[in-house]
Amino acid sequence: MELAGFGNVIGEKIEFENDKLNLLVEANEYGKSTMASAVWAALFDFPQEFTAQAGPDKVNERDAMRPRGTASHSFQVTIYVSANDRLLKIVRDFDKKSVRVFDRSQSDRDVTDEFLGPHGEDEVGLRLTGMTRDLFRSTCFVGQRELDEHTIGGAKDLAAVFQGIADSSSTGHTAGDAIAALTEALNLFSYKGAKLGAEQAVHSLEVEWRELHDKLKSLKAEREAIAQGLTRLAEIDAILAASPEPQGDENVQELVNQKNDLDSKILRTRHASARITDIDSELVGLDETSEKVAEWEVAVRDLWQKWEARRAEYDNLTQEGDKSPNQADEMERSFQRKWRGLAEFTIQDAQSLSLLVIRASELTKELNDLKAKRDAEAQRLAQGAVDVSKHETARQQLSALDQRDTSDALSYFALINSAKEQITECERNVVKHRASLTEIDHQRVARRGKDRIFAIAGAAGFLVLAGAAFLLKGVLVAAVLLGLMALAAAGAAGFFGRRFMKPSEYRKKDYEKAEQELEKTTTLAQNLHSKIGALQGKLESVARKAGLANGAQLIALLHERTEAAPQMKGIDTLNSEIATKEAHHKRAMEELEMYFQKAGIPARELSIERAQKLSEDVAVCVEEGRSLQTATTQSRLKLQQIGFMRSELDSIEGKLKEIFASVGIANPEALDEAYARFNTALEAYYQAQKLKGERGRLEQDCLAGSGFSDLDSYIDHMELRRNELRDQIEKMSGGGTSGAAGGGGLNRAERDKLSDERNNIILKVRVAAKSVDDNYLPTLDMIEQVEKELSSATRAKQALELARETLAKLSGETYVDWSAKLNLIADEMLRDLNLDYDSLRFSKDLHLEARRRGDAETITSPYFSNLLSVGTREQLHWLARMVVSRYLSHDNPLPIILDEPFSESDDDRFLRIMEFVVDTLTRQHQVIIFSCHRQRHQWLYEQLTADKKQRVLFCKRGAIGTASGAGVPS
Amino acid sequence: MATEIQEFKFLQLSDLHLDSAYLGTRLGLSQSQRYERTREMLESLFKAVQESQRRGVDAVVIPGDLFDLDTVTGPTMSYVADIFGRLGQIPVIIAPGNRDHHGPASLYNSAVLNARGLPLWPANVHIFDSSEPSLIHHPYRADVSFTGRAFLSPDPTENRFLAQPLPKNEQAAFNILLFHGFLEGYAGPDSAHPEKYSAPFSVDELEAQGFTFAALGHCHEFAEVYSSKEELIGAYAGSFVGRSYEEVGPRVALFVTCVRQADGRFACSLEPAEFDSRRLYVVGADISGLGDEEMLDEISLNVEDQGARAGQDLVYLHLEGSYPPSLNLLSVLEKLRARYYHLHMSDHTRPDYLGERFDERTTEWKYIEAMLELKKNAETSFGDGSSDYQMSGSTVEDALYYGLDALRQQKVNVRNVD
Repeated sequence: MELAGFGNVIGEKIEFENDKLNLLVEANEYGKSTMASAVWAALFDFPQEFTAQAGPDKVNERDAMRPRGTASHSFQVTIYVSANDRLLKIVRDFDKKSVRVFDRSQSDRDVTDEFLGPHGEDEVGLRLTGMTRDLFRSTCFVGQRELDEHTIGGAKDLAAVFQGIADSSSTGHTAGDAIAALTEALNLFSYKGAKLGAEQAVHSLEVEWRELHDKLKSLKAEREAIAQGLTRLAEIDAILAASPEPQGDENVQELVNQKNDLDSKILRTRHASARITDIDSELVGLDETSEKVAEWEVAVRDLWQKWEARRAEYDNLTQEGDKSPNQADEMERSFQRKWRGLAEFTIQDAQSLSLLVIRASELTKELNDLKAKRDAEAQRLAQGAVDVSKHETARQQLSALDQRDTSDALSYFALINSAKEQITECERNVVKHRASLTEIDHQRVARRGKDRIFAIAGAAGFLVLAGAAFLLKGVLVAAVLLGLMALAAAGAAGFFGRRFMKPSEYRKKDYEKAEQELEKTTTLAQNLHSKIGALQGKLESVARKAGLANGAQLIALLHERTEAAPQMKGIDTLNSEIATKEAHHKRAMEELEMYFQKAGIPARELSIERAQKLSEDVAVCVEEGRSLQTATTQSRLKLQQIGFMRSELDSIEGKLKEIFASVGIANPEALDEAYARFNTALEAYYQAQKLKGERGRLEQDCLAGSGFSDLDSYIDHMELRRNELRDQIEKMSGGGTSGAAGGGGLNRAERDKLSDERNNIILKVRVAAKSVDDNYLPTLDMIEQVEKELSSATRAKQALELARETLAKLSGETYVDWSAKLNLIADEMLRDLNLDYDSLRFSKDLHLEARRRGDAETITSPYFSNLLSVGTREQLHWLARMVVSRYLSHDNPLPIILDEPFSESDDDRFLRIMEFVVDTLTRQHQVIIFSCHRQRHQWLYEQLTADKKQRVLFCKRGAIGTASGAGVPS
Repeated sequence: MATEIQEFKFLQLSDLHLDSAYLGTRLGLSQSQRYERTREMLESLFKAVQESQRRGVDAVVIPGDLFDLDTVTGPTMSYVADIFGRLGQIPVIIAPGNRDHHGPASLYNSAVLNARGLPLWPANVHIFDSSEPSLIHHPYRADVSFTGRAFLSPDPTENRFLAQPLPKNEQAAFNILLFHGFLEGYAGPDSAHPEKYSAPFSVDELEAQGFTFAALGHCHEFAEVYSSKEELIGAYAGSFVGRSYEEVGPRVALFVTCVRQADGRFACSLEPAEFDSRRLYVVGADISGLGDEEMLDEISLNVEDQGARAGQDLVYLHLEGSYPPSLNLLSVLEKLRARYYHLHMSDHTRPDYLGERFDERTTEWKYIEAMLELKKNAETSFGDGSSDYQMSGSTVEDALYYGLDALRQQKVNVRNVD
């Protein structure tokens, strides 16, 4: 992967190898998470971003990964992948939102078109992985802390993780979560500011709608009545207009009306007066009741109700004829005697013991079978001239060593040999370097002799030539020439003389280098000797652990075992299985011994048969104990309740008697009778109040505004006035009140009748019009509003229910479909991996079910946390995740990328899971881990065996254009 | 032959539809807002009357639909009678339309007002009460006559009243026609309603009648009518106040001035005047690809472009497009609501779920496929009686998004749908 610019990673590249655990260990803030993100981003690009999410606290993923610092770096990642036997190069430019794919096997031919959708959309990631970005991120890409114990190891039920993947390609939510959300929306439906069920809301709206329509119907009837009234009024007005009213009639009519009014008023007042007389007689005798009775009414009713309820409960409890507490104690003592020693056993103990006995029994049988097989195998080998006893002896001798010890011993031996070889090589080098030095010394001596001769010759030449020049000083040219030659001779004498004096200058560097090499080699040899000594010491230590005299014996035994391994493989496997089973058997028997101790049975009696008997006894004892406990507990509880009830009843009775006495009820001790008398008094009180009220209302109705204080005087007054009116009318109308009225054909009675009708109609019209004014328009508006709300609520309810039903149906189908496909893949994968469990299944609702190798029973995921260790749960999770990944990627083993995984695991857990990753995951997947924990990974590396080390690669980042390093930690 | 310049000024207003039904639901108003809006309508009428007095108009003419007879209340009628009475000697001429028709139970009828105990129309109010065109003379101006007719029932009529010569006062200089009918060629938003085609007439028919000016009612958009000689011969004032989101922008009454020149020719001009303190606006916005702040800005900008005034007007907002599922649309819309007097939302937006790539093996994909198929079937079969479909395509689409809401966000925002 080459990152031209991505987040804070600029111009860097990194190489990962297939089928290995690729570790990129860097300090924090060096861009590990950035590089991890670059993998999926290069394949899929960032999700569609919205500017809405931009803001001071909302940065979309693309912007978050834009190269920092300078704008000159292109926002680009290139990734080289092998897929379907092709080597591809994917160049993604995040700024331009473009991607290009090249086929490296075909001279970098541009094959981008093969990775585009029908409308030219980018489908590079989808076509390479078979997954959408979100699914890839949720299955193959594991972010920081996703694998914390709380998330995976501690997950009570992994089904939710896989259901989430099966349900949605973008979130971890399951259809179950979604259905719960939809149900909540249906149950908490907003209706007029409150929350209630959608069904109820729709029903309420329908009821409201019907009520409003009824109201509208009645308002329309009123409108119709108004219209009819108006029509009738028009008719009446027309008739009256056509029939002019005779003169004087108006005054007579007025008097008649007054008289009629008085008649009816007198009648009404007389009725009232008669009723008041009756009331007064009824009140005699009722007035004696005290007002206190009414004051105590509520309190007495409450107390009485409570008393009756408690009394009924008390009677029920006492009528059942319970056993006394002593009887319960006796039953318990009898139980203790019968099951001495076993009474302390619980139901859980009984179940565990039963399972333990079965397990121990099966282990014994399996152990015997295995031993028989081993004997048969030994016999077979002996017939084939294999010295089984010798190997067996060796095996026993080595049995004190675990796998790591033997591995270490072999490593020490190999390292000792390697060191010895290196020492030999060092010795060779020492000789070689010493020879070089000697050779240089010889060369220096020889050259020094020559230099001495040349120096002397030069000096002699100088003297001769200088003398000759002196002698020929007359001949200038000759003297100068000879002088120059003399100087040259002097120079030569000086040069060689100097070389003679310093012979060490000759090949000085070579000499020094040879000396250094010699020293280095000597030191190395010494170190190697020390190392051999240390390794020998360690080897001896391991040998002593095995009870052997020395390391050589140990190595010899190990070699023998290795050589014999192919022949002994069968018997070794059997021995190993026997050892495992023996350990299990031992543990089971130890556990049984604990139960024996608890039951007070001596350890010497420990046997499977005895354990079976104990298990049966404990089961019966527990069952009896449970029945006894139920019986005694109920009995004691009931007695307790009776006591409590009695004291409560006493308290209530006391209060009631006190009240009855205070209101003057005779003989309050007889509670029922006292209460009956209290009720009678109460009824009398209310009857008196009612009659007094009625009397007051009658007087008020008749006398209000009259100025009279009693009815009789008022009646007398009205009769007097009526007589006056009658006389007046007779006088004015000439002795008749219904004579013919003049003109228009209407007599007085008819006119009066019409007038009355007119007045009635007007009254009705106005009342109806007022009602219509007040209600018609609001009712229409409300009907429309309610219809709208009803339509909206019905639609929402239907939609929510449809969504819920469809999701439930489809998720069920998806789980079943996935379950079948995942199980096929799981079977295939488990065949290739030799793990502790031989079956990993996905149930029809994607719950995991695993079965240990050799076990008959399957463990389902809800019991994982109880029955499996965290490590096993993690392994199962990983396997299941690989199965899902394999399914989603259409059987392509995709890389698994982990960003700082297991950061919160302790060392043991970290080592176990990483060994699993190295041992198992890397066989089928490229695994890339980004981490900041250098020392931890180095420690991990040191713990691995040599062959596992081969599967680990420490990656190093490098600048683009250079070779990026990789290897093992120094 | 007259030699002086004569002038006749009047206020024309119509189609108030006082106390019309469904105002609240049409405008999406709460009950209290609905009462407030009703009160504001009456206040607008009051302001128009006041302004007429101030300007000293010669008459107020109302060519129909002053109120909705089915629903108008006594208190409203009392109030109207009271404010018309305040005009004193300025006559108010009313030609009842189909909604305030002059039937037996009409509130233009004094006997009905009497029976209901309501105040009678004041003396300055003159009402055409016959379905046949007739004349009302101006009580104080002999040179002014009004011709008009009354609808006696709410039923639309196809009778072309203007095809025959209407009565006119030949002695009057100004013959003003009050007519409640549909002008052929009128293209306002309400023209598409079938019941609108009532008492139809053409420009030619109107021109042929030779009235000084025709005060027209029934159509709810302001519209001037010009003769073949490009002279203004009439106008619709349109609805006096906005009652539905078909009646957007300023609603007006018309101050009309008709002048008779010395040479006997007439010239009419008009001045629209707005009395309603609020206006209605319809605004559409596509929020696709916008964030919350941008969405607020975009919608506000669209509203402002339409001319709506913050805090004062009623706005019908039609929202379309898709928004990021992470965005809380409700809170954005609440912010918008606070900016205007009233915001009626028609929300047709959807969370942007379907733009993503889904894995075909997941429940989510199967769900989307199933619901889209169901929606297609519902859209073709719902309501045609040929199948058992109990749901509309929109309901199925709601279900689709509710399900995705629940899957993605584990919560469901139930939409209020129109």
